[in-house]
Amino acid sequence: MSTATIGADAARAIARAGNEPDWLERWRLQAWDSYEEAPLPDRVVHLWRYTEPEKFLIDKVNPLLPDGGEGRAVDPAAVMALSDKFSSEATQNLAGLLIQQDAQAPVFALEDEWRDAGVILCDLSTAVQQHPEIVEKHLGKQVPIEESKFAALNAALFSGGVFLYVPAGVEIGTPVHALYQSGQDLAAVFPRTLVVLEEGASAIMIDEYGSAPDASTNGASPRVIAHAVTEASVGKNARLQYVNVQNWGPRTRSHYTQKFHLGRDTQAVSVGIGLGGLYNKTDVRTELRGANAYSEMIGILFGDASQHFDNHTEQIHVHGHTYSDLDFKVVLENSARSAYTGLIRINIDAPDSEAYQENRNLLLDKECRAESIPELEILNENVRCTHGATVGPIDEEQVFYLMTRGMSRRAAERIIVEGFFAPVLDRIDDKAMHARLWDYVRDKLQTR
Amino acid sequence: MSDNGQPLFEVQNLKVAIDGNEILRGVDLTINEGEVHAIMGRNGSGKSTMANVVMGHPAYEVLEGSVKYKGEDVLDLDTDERARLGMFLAFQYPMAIPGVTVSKFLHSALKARAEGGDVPVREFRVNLNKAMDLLGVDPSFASRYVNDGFSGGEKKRLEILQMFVLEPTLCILDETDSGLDIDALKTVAEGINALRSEQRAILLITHYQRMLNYVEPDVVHVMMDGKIVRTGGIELAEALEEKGYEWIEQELFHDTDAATAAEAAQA
Ligand SMILES: Nc1ncnc2c1ncn2[C@@H]1O[C@H](COP(=O)(O)OP(=O)(O)O)[C@@H](O)[C@H]1O
Ligand SMILES: [Mg+2]
Repeated sequence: MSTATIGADAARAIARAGNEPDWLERWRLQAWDSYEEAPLPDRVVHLWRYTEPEKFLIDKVNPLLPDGGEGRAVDPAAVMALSDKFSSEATQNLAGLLIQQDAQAPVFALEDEWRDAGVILCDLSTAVQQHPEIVEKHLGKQVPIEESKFAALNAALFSGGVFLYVPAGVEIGTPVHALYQSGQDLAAVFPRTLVVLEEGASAIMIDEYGSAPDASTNGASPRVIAHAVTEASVGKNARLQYVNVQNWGPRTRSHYTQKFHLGRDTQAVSVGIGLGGLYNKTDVRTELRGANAYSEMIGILFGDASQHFDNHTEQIHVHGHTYSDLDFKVVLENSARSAYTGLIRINIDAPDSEAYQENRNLLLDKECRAESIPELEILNENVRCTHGATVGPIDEEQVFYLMTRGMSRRAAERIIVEGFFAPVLDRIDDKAMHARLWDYVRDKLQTR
Repeated sequence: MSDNGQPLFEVQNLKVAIDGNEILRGVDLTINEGEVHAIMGRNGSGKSTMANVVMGHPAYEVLEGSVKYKGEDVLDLDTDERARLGMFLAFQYPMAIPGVTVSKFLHSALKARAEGGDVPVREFRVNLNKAMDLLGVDPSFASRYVNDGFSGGEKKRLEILQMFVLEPTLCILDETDSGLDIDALKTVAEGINALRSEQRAILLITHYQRMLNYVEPDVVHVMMDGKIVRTGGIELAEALEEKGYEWIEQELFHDTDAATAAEAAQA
């Protein structure tokens, strides 16, 4: 069979297995066609200057199909027991959590308090059965099929997924944690998250991607191609803090697309934690579409071995009186590579907006390379905008200072790196989340 | 004398270059346990170079000579190994480490020295608070980033605070007195005096005599142009204060004249 039939059949099989409504099955099939027909992205176009799109094609791996099970609500302890990721103290006070393994149906749990308040946390398949009108209204609106070839691929083949809905006026004070784990070797996987905050709602969410070797790989990390998508609709006066942790195993190629639309008087903090994966491209955009929309995009990335990272961000000011601030810190060692391109666009009818962007890169070895390219499209003159980028080695005088206090070079570098990341992570005011993110970073730093 | 009968710290004929320029041109210095020495000298005479080389700064090239600590030549040891043996330098220009709190920094330094790498947090906090109290620094110090945005005086106090917490055996203080007002100088001097002990040696590097009014040295050296040119007691510092460095320069000039004359006479 050609990949075309495999893909269309797979999209249909997923729709049938989930007993999905017609509109969704049609959308999937249309998405598959669009994926098939769209040419590979043009390398000359800046978004793909640093990364080979061929690496994300799925013709040599198997798109995983759901096993036919249904998403299950269970009690929080039962979900926590499924992964040692939840053993730390920082996860003791979660509002809800969800785990998906490969294409299996997720299990999830939500504290009664929030369920009673009308919050919904489940997989997208369950959501489309139980709340079809909400899903239809929001799914694929920020990341439509037309977004890109690979976004279309996710639309065609995602299964399970995460759906978080917070009704008007409900403010969830503690984090919701979703964990996606791939295990199967030679697989293509398609995590998808949809967050909807109605007017005046607020939520803190952490979305984590990881790998756990299963029997098929003899303990080695699985070879996986991941196409993940997150979209969030943030209603008037709502507040979202969304953390995406890319903790894939060392043999995963990951392509990630994230889009937020911010309405009037909204606040969104988007946090990206880049640690895992072999060959990674992320594309993160926040559009400020209503007056007083406020966006922070912050990120840290720590690459080692021969990891490749290509991060693109967009701060799009569609409406006037909007504010965006981006702070992205990168540390590389060994022969890791990072290319960052950051677009700020302020439309002609978006006066009195402010946009800031800072990207700093710290290189621990001679072989690693980082590029940083700001792109400004400022069409209205009545705005404030600054950007800054630095790429440089670790300061040997700092290392010497720390070593005169008895720390080994490794320990000195580690503490400098932690200090480099600290101002970014310190922007996260939820204590448990703050501690959790430090755990991820320290876990990786420990392996040095 | 240390346990093995060797002086605690001994520098012999140390010659050092940076970027091909010879900066130390044969330094000799011996310090025993319990002693406080001062090295005085004008700006640019090589005092900081010596301090940095003793701690193993990578930018300097040792051309000749040795640096021994408890009889062991440390020139082949990494900086952190020297530190863990008990050597300490209070920097003339301490580095800022943004994002790293004083408390975390000191805890990491202690852990690096501890057997098994473990230093209980409670015990550490108690010791840190005690040291901060003794030096009259505000408790908020502990949660500020190391030297980041610190005033000159705060930086120097932090250097002394580190010395208190890490309890080194050989303490080299590079211009710890400069940039301090008189009150700060007194607190810092009190701190140094509190650390004086039978087991410890202290080397004060300064170009003013001022500090020596508060911490009285056993031995005073004068460094000039990369060499120790005079060694004496506190009266040497007092004479310098009164007559300035030109006085020694002239004496040296005469010495050289005399030597040349003697050589000429022999020929
Ligand atoms: N890192 C360096 N690079 C180049 N020259 C240096 C460096 N450090 C010191 N020097 C030179 O070595 C000489 C001695 O400097 P230093 O040891 O700092 O003197 P002091 O501490 O007595 O003021 C000066 O001429 C100074 O310019
Ligand atoms: Mg100096």
